[in-house]
Formats: sequence, C-alpha cells, structure tokens
Amino acid sequence: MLSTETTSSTSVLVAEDDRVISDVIRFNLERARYHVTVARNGTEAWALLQTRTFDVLVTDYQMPGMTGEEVCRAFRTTYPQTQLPIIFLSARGLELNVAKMQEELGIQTLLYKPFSPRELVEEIAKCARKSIALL
Amino acid sequence: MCQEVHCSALIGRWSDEQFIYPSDRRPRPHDAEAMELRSKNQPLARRLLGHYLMFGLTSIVVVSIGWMLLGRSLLLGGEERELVSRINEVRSLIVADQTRNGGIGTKTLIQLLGSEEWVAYAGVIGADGKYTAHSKPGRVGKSGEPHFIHDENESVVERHIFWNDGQRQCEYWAPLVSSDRRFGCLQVGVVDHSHAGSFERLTNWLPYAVVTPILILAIGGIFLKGTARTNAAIEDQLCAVSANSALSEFRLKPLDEPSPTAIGWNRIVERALGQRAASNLETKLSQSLGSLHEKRSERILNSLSDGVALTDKDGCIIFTNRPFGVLLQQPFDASRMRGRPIQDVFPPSANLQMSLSQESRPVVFEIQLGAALTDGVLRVGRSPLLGEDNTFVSQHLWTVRDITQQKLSDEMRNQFVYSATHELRTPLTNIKAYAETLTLNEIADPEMQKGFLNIINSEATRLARFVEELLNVSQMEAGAMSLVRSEVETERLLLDVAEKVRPQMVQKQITFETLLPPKLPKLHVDKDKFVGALVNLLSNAAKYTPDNGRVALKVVTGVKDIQISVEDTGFGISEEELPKLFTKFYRSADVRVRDVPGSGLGLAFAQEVARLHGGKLVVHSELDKGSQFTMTVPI
Repeated sequence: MLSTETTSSTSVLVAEDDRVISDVIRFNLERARYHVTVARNGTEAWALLQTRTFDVLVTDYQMPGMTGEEVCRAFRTTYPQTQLPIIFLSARGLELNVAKMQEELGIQTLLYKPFSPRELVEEIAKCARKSIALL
Repeated sequence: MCQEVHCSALIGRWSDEQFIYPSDRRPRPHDAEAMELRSKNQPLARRLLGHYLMFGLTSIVVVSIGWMLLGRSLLLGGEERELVSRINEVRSLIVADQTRNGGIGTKTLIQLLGSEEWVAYAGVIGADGKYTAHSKPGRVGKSGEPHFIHDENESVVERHIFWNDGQRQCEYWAPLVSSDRRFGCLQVGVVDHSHAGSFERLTNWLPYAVVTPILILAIGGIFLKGTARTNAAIEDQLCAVSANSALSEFRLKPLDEPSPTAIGWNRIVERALGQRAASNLETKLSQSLGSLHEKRSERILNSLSDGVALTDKDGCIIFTNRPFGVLLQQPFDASRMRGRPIQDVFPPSANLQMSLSQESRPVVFEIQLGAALTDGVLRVGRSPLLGEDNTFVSQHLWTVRDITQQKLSDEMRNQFVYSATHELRTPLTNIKAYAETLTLNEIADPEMQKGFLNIINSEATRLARFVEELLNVSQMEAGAMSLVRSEVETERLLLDVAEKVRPQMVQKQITFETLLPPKLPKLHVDKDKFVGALVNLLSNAAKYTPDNGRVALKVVTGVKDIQISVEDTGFGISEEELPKLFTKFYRSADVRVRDVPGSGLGLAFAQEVARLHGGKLVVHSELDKGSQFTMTVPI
C-alpha cells in the first residue's frame, strides 16, 4: 500500500510539540520504514538540524521556542546550498501566506490540521524521491 | 412741564398723555395745530435772518437818525458862516455909510442888526473907544470894552467867547476900515449857536442815540433767543448724546412747546424710547435666555463622554469641552486650550495630517496614544461646520471618542477566534490521525489498538469540554448564564476536578498536590459550572507553570464559607496586568503566556461562576514566582 522504495535510508525530522500527534506521525512513518527523529519544540529541531543530516523536515507551525517558520528560515539562511524538502503542518492555515512561504523558505507542501497521516506519508515519499533524483 | 425720561425706563413710565401718540395716523389735536403753525412758521434760517435783518436795520435806522440829528447839530458851524457873512454885510454897509454919508445911517443899521433874532446886542465902537452906535441906546457914548484886533484886514471877523454870569457868551468883532483907515469896530453879541448849542444838543441826543439801538438789539436778542430756543434745547440733547460714548446712558427729554419742531422732536423721542424700552427688554430677555442656553449647552457638552472641539479657519481651537482635554491627556483646562493649533493637541499622526488637508469634507480616523493599544485609541471625527444657510463657515467641529476598550475587545476577540480554532483543531487532528491510522493499518497489538482508541476517546472528550466551554462563554457573553444548583459532596467534586487536570500536570511533570481538610461540608452549587471554574483555574496553573513546577489545590473551611485556592510556581502576573486579568478575552502580553493557546475566557468564566454562587474570586500573584487564585463561596 505505502511506497517503501526509498524509505530504508530516508531520515525524517518531525518537529511537533504535541506528543499525541507526534506519536501517531512517528507510528505511521515508521510503518512506512522511514527513520524518524522527533523534536519536542522549534529550538530542539534547529539544534538537531545543525548537528545531523535529514532528508525531509516535517514541522508544526506553532511551537514553543522557535516557530516552524523560524526554524525553516534559520536553516535556509545558514545552509543555503542544502536541499532539504520541508513539509509544513499548521492549524493556522488561514493566516499563512502559502505562496510567500513556499517561495521564500522552499517549502514543498503545507498540510492543514486535521491532516491525513496517509497523505503525509505520500508527501514525504514524493520529497524523498526528488532528493534521490537530485543526487 | 418737561418730564425727564431715562431711556432705560420701560414704556409704562411715560404715562403723560401729551407724549403718548398712538401709532396709527388718526388726526390729533396737535396735528392741526402743528399744520397751522408750520404754515405760519418759516424755516429757522429764514426766521433768524428775518429777525436779524429787522432788528439790525431798525438799529441802523435809529443810529442813523440819531447821528443825523447829532451831525446836524454839529454842522451848525454853517450858521456861523452865515452870521459872519451877515456881519460882513452890515460892516460893508456901515463902511459905505461912513464913506458916503459920514456915518449918518450907522445907528439905524445897528438898530436893524440888533433887532435880528440871533443878535443879542450890536454896537460900533469908534476910534476913541466909545460906542458911536448901539442896539441898546443907553450904551451910546459909553466906552466899550475895546477888543484888540490884530489883523487890520477889513474882511476879518473875530470871535470872542467869554463867560458872563456862568453863561457862555459869544461876541464877534469886525474892524471898520475906510480908505485904509480904521475908524472903528463892529461888535455883535450873539446868542451862542455854535459850540455851546451843538454840545448841548449832543448831550441831549446821545442817550437816545445809544440806548435806543441797544434796547432794540436787546429786544431783538430776546426774540432771537425765543426763536432758537426749541432748536437749542434739541441741540443740547444731541450734543450730550454725541459726548456720551455709552449709548445706553443718554437721556432724551421731550420739549414742552407748541412749535412743530418741538412736536416733531417729541414724537422722535417717544418712538426712540419705545424702541429703546422694547430693545432693552429684548436684550435683557435674550441675554438671560442666551446665558441660560449657553450655560446649559456647556453643561451638556461637558457631560458628554466624547470630546468636542471647535476650530477656526486656521485650525486654532475656539472651544473644547472638558472631556476633550481629558481624552487627549492635556494638562490644561478648557480655557487654556483656546487659541492653540489643533495639531499640537493630538499626537503626531499621518491620519491627522491627511484630515487637515481635506478642508470641506467630513473625516474620521483613529489615533493611537502610545505604542500599545492599552495606552489608548481615539476615534477622531472632523466635520466642517455649516452656517444657517448651509454654507461652509471655515470652522470645524472635532469629536473624539475613546475606543480603547472596543479596540482591546476586538483584539481579544481575534485572539479568541485564533485560540478557539486551535483548540478545536488540535483534538480533531488527533482524532482524525488516530482513526485513520487504525483504519488503514493492521495493528496486531491489541494494547496498541486500545491505546489508540483511548486517545481518540480522550480527544473527543476534550473537544466536548471545549464545546461546553464555548457554550458557557456565549451564555456569559449574553449575560444569560444561570445556575442549576444541587447538593454535592465537596470532596468528590474536588477529586473529580483534580482528575480532569492531572494529565496536564503529568505531561509537564508538575508536582500536583491536593490539601483537603478531613471533613468538608456539602455544597449547594451548579456542579458542572463549579467544576468548570475550578478546572479552568487548575488548567491555567498547569499551562503557565514551567515543567517540574508545583501546583497545589488547597481548601480551607470557615463558619460561613469555603475557600478553594489554586497555587502555582508559574510565570506569575505583573502588577499592571492584574486589574485586567478577569476581562473577557484578555490575554497577558507575556510571551511565555502567548506561546500557550488559550481563549482569554477561563478566568472571566471562573469569576462569573463565583459571583453567581454569591462568592468571589481573588488573585495574588508575583511575577516569576507564582500565583494564587482563591475562590470563596458561601456554604
């Protein structure tokens, strides 16, 4: 059912402060054979991005410390050459300027809560395929 | 009768019929009289000129007659010439008689001369100094009083004036010469017709010549004065009016005379007084009404909650009401605001500049008094002031309304919508994610399945609770929240509350203790709302206390009431924010609080519940140390 072609070595960073939702994301991504790391807030996510290499970033918009947008901006500014696909999760869909964010921060997909875990997995698969193609 | 009337007096004061003329044009006794008089009366100038000419000319005539008479008397010197000529004539006759007849006819000639009217006496004194002839025959042969005549000229007649018995006498002496030999002298005494007579006449005439014209002139002056009396009286009053700058003070007097001028003047005075009285009354009325209106308008304007100001064409303040200065935080009172440019009163603003540039259109804009909304937001309206004929009179009416609360409320409402959306979406997201995961994945582990289902269940409960809270809020908003009271076991209720919030405490590893007295009285409360209020307090404590903090639920029972306190070691609340804490939709500006989703309604709800139960909710807090919320309700 789920694509497993590119998953074995694909590492995904999930930045989500709500443990309940991060648990279900982790469950689904691991089922799809991704290597999942969960950051509990934006600051933690940014620290992980600076120390380790991830293939895909899945981040919530609103988090304590740094917001998802701030994490993305920090990453794009610090590592302008690095191709990191980003998937944004947000409950504030109405207030985000999608076009502007996609352009400025190189965001691939924006999923509005409540989102479908299957859709998330598919989006990650797309991103991972693109990363491999680029390589 | 000349009744003096003050202009400020009312019409009623002037009751004398003579000065009350009906306003209609019915014929009045004075009218006919006036007409008659007018026909007789010439214009003043002509009358004065007539009188002047009449009396002047009379005086001149009198003076002329006097002087003519006097002159005539002075001119009597002419008589003397005739006298001398007569003497010469008689002398010639005597000389001729002497020459031809040896002086036979001399006596006759003297007698004739002596009989003449003007001659007092006449005689001829011979060379021997004795009278050879005399008008008084007794004197002939007697020595005369020879008068020495220096001039031997035969034509000379000398006059000799002397006083005899206090009377002035005049004598003429003429030498009698024949064949160059003086043979005697003619003496003629005359009644003095020359100087003495003229002087007498002069002294006789002079009083009449002087006094009569003076009298005539005096009478003429009296006449002239009479003629000009009316006009003089009017002129005096007009001069008094012109000299008095305060018009209200001058006095007008009616004139008691039958002349048309006086009647005309009296009518003018009457009318002026009438108008004056009416105008005074009107002025007094309008003044008192005006000041009443003005005071009332000012009181009304000062009682408004909105600020009102009026500016002139240069944008300078003409008037402000009290709230205007207060709203704009001006240190001056209304009177000292006058004359200041309006832009000096407002904080600098682009909106203000824009509105000033649009003169004739109404403009409404908002001005923020400081960096934060809480510093104050004013809605400023500026409308051009229209005159009575709806034309723009280059003045503007400014209104200022404090919309700070409205703005804060708007902002809080927006915040609430945002928070509510988040609060709704989070459990929904979880439910959807877990449900889909369960549906799409085959999960062999029953424990895991149960765990997932439990999560779905608890998220649905959370959602339901939030919906309940929203309902409470909407009731509270509408002021329609009511209680459904029932007897409840206090301990049971508190433990329920504790259970509801325990997961939040566990999640943040907060030490949560409940300190309850051994025996608790039963409460008669609306269970759901009471629980909701306490859950809000404890939930807040959990949300705004950092991980590993401490939260305590303490209960103290008194004689009449029960105090339920929630203490935490959280962020605390600043002193400035404490008064606004229970305001609906209010959320702290503290970033640590802003990071946590919330509706800004929990505390407002809790306070309302406490109030509805006849109790109160009190807060003590210190920033960075923690807060204590105590809800006191009667048992």
